[in-house]
Amino acid sequence: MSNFLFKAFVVIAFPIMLVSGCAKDQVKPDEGLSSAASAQKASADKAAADKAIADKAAADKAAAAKAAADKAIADKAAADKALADKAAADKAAADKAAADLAASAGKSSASMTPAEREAEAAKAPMKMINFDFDSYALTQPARDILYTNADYLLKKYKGKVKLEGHCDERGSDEYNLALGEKRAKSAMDYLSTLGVPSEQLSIISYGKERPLVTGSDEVSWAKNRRVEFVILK
Amino acid sequence: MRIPLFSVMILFLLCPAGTCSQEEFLRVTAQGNRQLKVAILAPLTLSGDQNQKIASEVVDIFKLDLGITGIFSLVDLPSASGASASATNKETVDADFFVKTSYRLSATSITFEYRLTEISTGKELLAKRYSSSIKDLRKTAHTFSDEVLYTLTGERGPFTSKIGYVSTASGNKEIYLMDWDGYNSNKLTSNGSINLNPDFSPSGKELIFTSYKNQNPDLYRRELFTGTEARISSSPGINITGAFSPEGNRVALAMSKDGNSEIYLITKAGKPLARLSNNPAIDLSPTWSPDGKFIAFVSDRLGKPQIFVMRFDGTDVRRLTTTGSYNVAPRWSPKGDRIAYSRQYGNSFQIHLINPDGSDDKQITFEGSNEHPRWSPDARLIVFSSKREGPESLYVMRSDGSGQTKVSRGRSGDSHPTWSPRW
Repeated sequence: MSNFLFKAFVVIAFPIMLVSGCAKDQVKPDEGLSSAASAQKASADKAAADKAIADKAAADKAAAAKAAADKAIADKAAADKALADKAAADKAAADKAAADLAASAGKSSASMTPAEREAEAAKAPMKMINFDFDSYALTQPARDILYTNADYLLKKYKGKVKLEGHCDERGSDEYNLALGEKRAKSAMDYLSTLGVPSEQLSIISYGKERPLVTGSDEVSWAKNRRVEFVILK
Repeated sequence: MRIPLFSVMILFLLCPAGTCSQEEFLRVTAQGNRQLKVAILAPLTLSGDQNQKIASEVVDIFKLDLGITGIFSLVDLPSASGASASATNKETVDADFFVKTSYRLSATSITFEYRLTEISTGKELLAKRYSSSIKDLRKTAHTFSDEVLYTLTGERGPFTSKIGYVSTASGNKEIYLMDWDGYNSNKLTSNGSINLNPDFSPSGKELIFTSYKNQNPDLYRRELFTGTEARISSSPGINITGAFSPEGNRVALAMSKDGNSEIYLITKAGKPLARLSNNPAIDLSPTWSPDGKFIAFVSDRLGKPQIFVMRFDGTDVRRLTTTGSYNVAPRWSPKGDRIAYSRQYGNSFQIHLINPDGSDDKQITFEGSNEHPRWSPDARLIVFSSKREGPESLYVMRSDGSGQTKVSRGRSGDSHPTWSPRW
């Protein structure tokens, strides 16, 4: 045995591997948007046709009750014309709404400050809904807003809408991701119950990652517990 | 073969007479279970003038590493600079061990010799020589700290492992890596979206995390050497709280593709294997027992989030936490004997430990709001995030809650730590 015995080790030096700024994003962009859009347009056309038939039947029934044949014919003609006018007006309004939205949707919500987000949300065509603490149950005010939003989606805007679920800053990040999703799903289910086609709706949860307002008080928390309705281009 | 490419540092083991059998180590227990007293001597230069910056950096690393374990008490020497020569006289220093450093500085590299000496016998228990570039000198001292723990306790220290975490330093939440003491922080992702919940593979070579970079919270696996990222779970809805299985081939995670958040098993390549929970409540945050037989997770099936344990196939579900109204973020100790988690108190969180059978539930943090406990690979230490000083920062403590030390060095919010295995 010698006094000193030398052994060489080689250490894998991890600092090297940490210098790794070359992340390769292997993710493919979303596909199939265009086919979904055409399918949705077809369903919208069908809905409009159904509605016209139903309205027409109602008008016919009213006319028959009057029992004056020539007057009935005149009434029917008037009703038909009114229907046609209304349909045209609705279509014009929907087109205008879509154009306005396309123009205002230049900035994604991801890059906005909370203040910008709040301002943007205030002028959105569909109001957001709020929730009680740690709850995804729809309150009566939330149901009222959803009813109005459903009306907008049935009559004015036939495009896609993303329902974003959010939470206040309390609670754990992970649990809030799941809770935010349940909120978005509650809203989506209610819109579906009100007749909004499910192809029009999608959901995403941001948990507590994107507060609408900063602040650690009841008012801020209440504002942040929400589902927003984001028009997709 | 990667080794030659990445070898910037070559270690020579000097094996003094009498301590040559490497497999043996001392299991030292001081009398009366007191802490072992260690005196860290001021480094001696073997190449001209003392470089005060290098000397104090090395001493500070030893003090931090050996001090955080709680095994040692650090003995201050009367004079830092002149002490090394005179302090070797055992009558003058009230300590059990010396840690001695000498170094030789050249233009591009530095060579250290570190020695651990038992004062009562004068025996040299450990002696190592490391050559490194100057920027890697911290690594050499951390490596020796690991060796000191191995020599004195039989279990290597965690000081050369890394901590992965989420930081908002660039404005949004990106994934970073740093030394256990907060030095050498390194930004891994730069996708500009939200990145959450990193978790190391058992090899330490891969990280999984959830990212919104493709407009949905999907699960990604990143190879640390190459930086290559693969999306391994992108079902509709959430793909969150991924946890590598102990053998490293599988990942447990929470997905909501079947209606609400449930726990699933996939391969690390993303192939679906099994659905483990089936419940209208929220189920998420799985964590594996080190033998891979059990998974603890969070569920609000009884109204509020509580921690449950099931077999890895989803059977035999039982409730673990029975007190507190909001218990989340469980993490099984690598030794298997304890589970760390965070409990909500009012609007803040505190870290608790509990036995896997539900007994001995104990709060170990009390100051500020503390979340996301993660064990060091030797289970001696726990890293966690705390808001006690304003912006969320990372802290390390002993597994009994003592020795809480801030390790975040930036001013931005750091959260979601995960401690790597040994490399």
